[in-house]
Amino acid sequence: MDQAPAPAASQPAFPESDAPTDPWEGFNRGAFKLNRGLDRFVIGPIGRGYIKITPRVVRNRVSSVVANLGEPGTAINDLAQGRPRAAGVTTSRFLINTTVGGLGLFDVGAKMGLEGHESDFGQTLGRYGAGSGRYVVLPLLGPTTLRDGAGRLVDTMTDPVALATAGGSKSFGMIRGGVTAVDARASADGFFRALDDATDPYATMRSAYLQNRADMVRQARGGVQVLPDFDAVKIEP
Amino acid sequence: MGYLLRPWLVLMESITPAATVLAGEPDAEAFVESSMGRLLGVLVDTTLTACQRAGAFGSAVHAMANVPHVTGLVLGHHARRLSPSQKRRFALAFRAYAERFYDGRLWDGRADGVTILSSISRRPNEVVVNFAINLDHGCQPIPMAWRALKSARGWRLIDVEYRGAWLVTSHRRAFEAAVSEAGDDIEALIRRLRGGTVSELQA
Repeated sequence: MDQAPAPAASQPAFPESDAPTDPWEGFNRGAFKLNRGLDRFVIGPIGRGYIKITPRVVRNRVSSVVANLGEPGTAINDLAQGRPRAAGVTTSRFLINTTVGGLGLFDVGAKMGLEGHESDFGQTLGRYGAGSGRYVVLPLLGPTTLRDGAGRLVDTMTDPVALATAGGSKSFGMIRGGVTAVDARASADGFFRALDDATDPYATMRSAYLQNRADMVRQARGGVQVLPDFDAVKIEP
Repeated sequence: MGYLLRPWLVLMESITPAATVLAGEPDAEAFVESSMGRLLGVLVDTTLTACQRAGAFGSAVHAMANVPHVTGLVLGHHARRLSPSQKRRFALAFRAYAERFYDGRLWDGRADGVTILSSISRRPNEVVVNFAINLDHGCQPIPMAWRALKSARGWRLIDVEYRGAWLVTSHRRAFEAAVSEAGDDIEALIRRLRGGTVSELQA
């Protein structure tokens, strides 16, 4: 990978943190509650049903195909982030996995040392210094920030696979979207179940999401791993 | 909102020398490798009943984690205003909560051990070990990081990172929100931790 050189370890590696910028918390909690309701009665049962009837080996192959279809978008964002070598690796992975790997069923590229990664336009904006902006939970779509929500919109509108297949059957896009959603829900099932027991599921989700996005941007900037700085007080049980 | 585009950042980074990565900690890496091996052994052992697995999981976690330190971390600034009695009750409630929160939810498939990727020590007696859990069926390994602290009992786990999210931070934010929602009442948090949390929908 051609990560940019890391900043000195003594300097703050990344100015963002998971400290919530959440002035729309009232609306967000409402949307979160709606999404949890939909997940409880619609999306969750579909995801768990999929897990129950499908062997793990099949689910893994489905995940590989879904990830492979996202590689062209990743390559474009790698280029936009000024990481040509990463873009080359991603493009190579896509070509190899689509052909030798049977339309992405098998991750042959990883076996050849071409490790996969994710890049998106929100990350690209962050790479060039755009702050994350306000945290917002969108009905149906889930947590995002103003920056990453805009990035998601751009990614959707410029997705090379979607553009390449736009002239063909509309059912491809629908099937792809449906499979991607079910695969994502199944992959995150453990997290969703843990969320049920969280003291504040909304705050837990917000913290996990913001930390994840901050880390994605850190990776794009080539910064060192950020450690939470605690003012710990030792407590004997 | 401060959307500042700074294209010069890329140029500056390209001419700035890379930071020197500090030396790794072989002892800490060995601790993480053996501890993860033990945890994965519990999680994938199909001969255990759910109750047995919960017990074995709890024992393994408490053997490898610096529980008093973690308890202080998740409490944050609230720890300073707790009485000794409250601290003891919080620690017990948090222990039960943590076991309930993670048991059976971390991983339900098979794993072929772990591969240590690197370890970085940026503070005395504290190290972050990056590793990957190797999965079967040729799946992509799961990258994780453990933050460990060296004490008189050797290296002990104090935090876990997965996909950029540190668990202590996530819990701490949730606890802060729960205490704030209850009118700054720490007893409400202890009750919620002890009795299990009813989800927002069920409430």
